[in-house]
Amino acid sequence: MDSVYVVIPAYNEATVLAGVLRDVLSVVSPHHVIVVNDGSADETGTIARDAGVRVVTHRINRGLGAALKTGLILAKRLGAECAVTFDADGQHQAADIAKISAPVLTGDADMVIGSRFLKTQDMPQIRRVFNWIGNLVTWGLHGIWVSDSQSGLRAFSKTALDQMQISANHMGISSEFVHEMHRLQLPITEISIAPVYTEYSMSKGQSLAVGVKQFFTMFVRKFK
Amino acid sequence: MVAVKIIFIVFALFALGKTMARVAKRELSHALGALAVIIWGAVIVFALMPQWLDRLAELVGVGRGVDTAMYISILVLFYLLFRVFIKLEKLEDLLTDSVREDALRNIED
Repeated sequence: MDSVYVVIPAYNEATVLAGVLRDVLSVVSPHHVIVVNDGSADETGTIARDAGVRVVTHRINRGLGAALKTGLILAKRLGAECAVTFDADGQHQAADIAKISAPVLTGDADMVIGSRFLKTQDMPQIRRVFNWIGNLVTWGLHGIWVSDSQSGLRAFSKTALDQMQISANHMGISSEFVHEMHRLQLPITEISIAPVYTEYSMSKGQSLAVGVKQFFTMFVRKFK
Repeated sequence: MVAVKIIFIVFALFALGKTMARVAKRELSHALGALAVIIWGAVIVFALMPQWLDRLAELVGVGRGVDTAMYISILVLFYLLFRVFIKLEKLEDLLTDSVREDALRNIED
C-alpha cells in the first residue's frame, strides 16, 4: 500500500469527515491521504488538517469532478502508482481500499470500480433507479456499459493518471472516467463492495433533479 | 400596423448598429456579424413586406405568416440559449482551472 494514495473530495462534510478519516487512516498513512476541500463553508478543512492528512483547498466550490481532478493531479505529482477515490460522506469502508487497488497494483486493470451491484445487496430502491439511469446515460453518451458507473470508490493506475483527459466539473465525471478508459483502450475491472447507507449519505446522494441537470450538462459539453 | 412596423424596423436597425459597432471594435467575429445582418435584415424585410412572410408560411405549411415568424423566433432563441450554455461551460472550466492552479500552489501538508 506504499504507493497507494487516497483522494477524498469533500464539500461541507464536517459532520462525518472525522469518522471517515479515522477509518481511512487505519489502513493508509496520513501522507498518502489527500482531502480536496472543495470550497466548504463549514469546518471540513480544519477537520482534515487536524487529522494530519494532505489538504488541498479550492477557494470556491467547483464540484465533485473538479475536486477529484485536483486530487488526482496531486496524487500523480506525489508519485502514486495507484490512486483511489473515496467518498467523504461515510458511504465507503476503508477495508475496501486494498481490495480495489489490488488489480491495479498487479497490473491487471487500469481502472477498478467498486461496484455496489455485482451482488444483490440491501440497497435503497431510489439509489438503484438513479444508478441505473446513470449507467444508461453513460452507455448512451459514451457507448460503454458498466454495472455501477456512479460509484465513488474507484482505483486508477499510474498509466490512467498520466493519460486521462478529464474535464467535467460535477457528477458527470463518473461517466467521463469510463469514457476515457474506453478511449484510451485501458482495461476496467469491477469489484463488489458493500456500501454503508446512512441517512446522512442518502441525503448527500443524487436526486432526480440533479440527474437531469447532469445529463443536460453532459450533453452541452459534447458541443464545447 | 404602421406603428408596429416602425417599432420593429427601428429596433432592428438599433440592434444591427450595436452589433456592427462591436464587430468594428473586434469584440465580435465577422461570422457573428454576418449572422446578425441576416437575422436583423430578415426582421426589416418582413416588417416592410409582411406578405412575404405569408408566402413563406404557405411554403412551410404553418398557416399565417406571423405564426411562422414566431416559430422561427423560438428556434433562433433556443439556438442562442444553447450557445450561451456552451459559453457558460467554457467559462466554468476556466474558473475551475484557475481555482485548481491556486489550490495546488498552496498545498497544506
